[in-house]
Amino acid sequence: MIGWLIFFFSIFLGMLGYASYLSYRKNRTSDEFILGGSNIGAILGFLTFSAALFSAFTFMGMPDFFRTHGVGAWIFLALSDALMVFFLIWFGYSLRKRAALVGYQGVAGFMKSCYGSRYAGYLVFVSSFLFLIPYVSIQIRGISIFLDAAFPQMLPSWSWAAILVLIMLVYSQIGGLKAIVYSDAIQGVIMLIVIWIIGLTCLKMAGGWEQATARVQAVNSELLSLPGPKGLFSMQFLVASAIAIVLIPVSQPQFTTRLVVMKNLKSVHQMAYAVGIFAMLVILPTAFIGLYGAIKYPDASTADFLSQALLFDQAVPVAALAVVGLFAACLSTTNAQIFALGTELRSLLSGSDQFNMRATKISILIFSIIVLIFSSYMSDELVLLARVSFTGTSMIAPVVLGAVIFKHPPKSLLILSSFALGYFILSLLGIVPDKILGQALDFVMYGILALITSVLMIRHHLNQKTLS
Amino acid sequence: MKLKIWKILVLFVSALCIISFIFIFKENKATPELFGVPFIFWTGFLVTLLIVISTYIASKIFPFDDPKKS
Repeated sequence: MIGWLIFFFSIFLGMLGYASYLSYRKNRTSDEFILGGSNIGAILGFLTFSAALFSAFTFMGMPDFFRTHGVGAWIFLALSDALMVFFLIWFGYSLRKRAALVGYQGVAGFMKSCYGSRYAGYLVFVSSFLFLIPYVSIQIRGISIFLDAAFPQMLPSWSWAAILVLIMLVYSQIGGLKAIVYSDAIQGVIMLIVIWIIGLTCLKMAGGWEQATARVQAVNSELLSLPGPKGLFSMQFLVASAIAIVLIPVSQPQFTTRLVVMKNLKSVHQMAYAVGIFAMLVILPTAFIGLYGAIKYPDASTADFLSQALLFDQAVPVAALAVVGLFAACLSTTNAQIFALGTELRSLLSGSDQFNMRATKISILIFSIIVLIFSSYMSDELVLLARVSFTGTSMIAPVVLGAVIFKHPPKSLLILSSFALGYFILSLLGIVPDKILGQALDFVMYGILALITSVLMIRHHLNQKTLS
Repeated sequence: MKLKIWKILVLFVSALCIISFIFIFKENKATPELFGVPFIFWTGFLVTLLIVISTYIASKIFPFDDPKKS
């Protein structure tokens, strides 16, 4: 096993090193470092978007989600992702249209320019910081749990996380966004290959699809329908999750920035349907692994199930490739998000280019340290924590949508999103209830936000018409 | 013509979503199966596939030009 691990890791690290070398330029500007020259084509764009989207939470969380909550997990993630890519067709166009007019250096800076208010920029940055840090920490926590279970007493738990962050820091500091895009492409391909090899092996061990579902039926028939054995996949949960996931490109800056830095609109649109196909291809084998787990490891802990299904039940080279694949999946999401936080901070700065570049690099280092510390305190509920992160950042969606739709967006959207974000944070802290009239808070908040946002936008549109 | 197809696609995807969540994805419904695949899984897969195909068509007929180019 160790020999195979060293072999695959050497190839993987060699490719990352080459990606950094290709991306490095001595006298680059902060724009080149942060926005990768805004010239990313469809194939690279789709791989970087997919790798940033499908992370350790997909690789590890989704099999466990299928195992614990059943086949409704497909609707929770795959269907929501499909809706998101359809939405990208319009959103990519509208975002690029506004970015062409006012310029783009990051979502926070973009909002500051669109609203003519520094507060708009700070609101986006605070939301990103508050919800991306836990999300990145989840990824790191996930890989640490897995590696710790797979190789007990080989290294202290925290050192797995430290190695990952160190690798990420080295190549992102050398090559900037371009290196991250190249490395995402490598990681996306590895992830897809590995998840299919493991998925097909698990399906074979379960006796093929028909026998697997028959055996799941015998173990726990509730896994084959909604809302699942624990009642998680209620209609409210699925609808609220779909909204949160559709809004990811609006409210998570690492995705918004990827839409702007692509070569042209055609590339954005090609990337959109390619991500949709990739989503289906990546999530399907996680269902095979999950159903296999439901038959063979129904009562095992998450870490035990994953280390058995992904490692010990596989042939040695596949298991070694799985470790590298997981590491790659985690790395691609982590680097996208930490780099995005640096980008957001930089878009709010107004100093010289040299100063901004230095400040961005230092901020990426600081964010990495915060994430490392935070990852020690996270719980093991990877998917649910990821969903909280999606929901939290989506509270600023009215602000971003207002900015891409209107030339002079209504400032009332800033008040609305601030209130929503504040209330959601208070609910997480347990200060206000997480249910309203017996309904899930996020579901109710989306309803209220959609209604008020529509009213504010229609009123603003009519006012503008009257003025002109 | 492109604008019309785009509007029809948006309407189709919106209607598909509403119909799916209200009428198809019902709780405690595991049949009818399709080749041994439980109802929720194959209907969920089919709806997902239809939306991805709609995205592909939308990318081909999107009626507006690249803003950066213009």
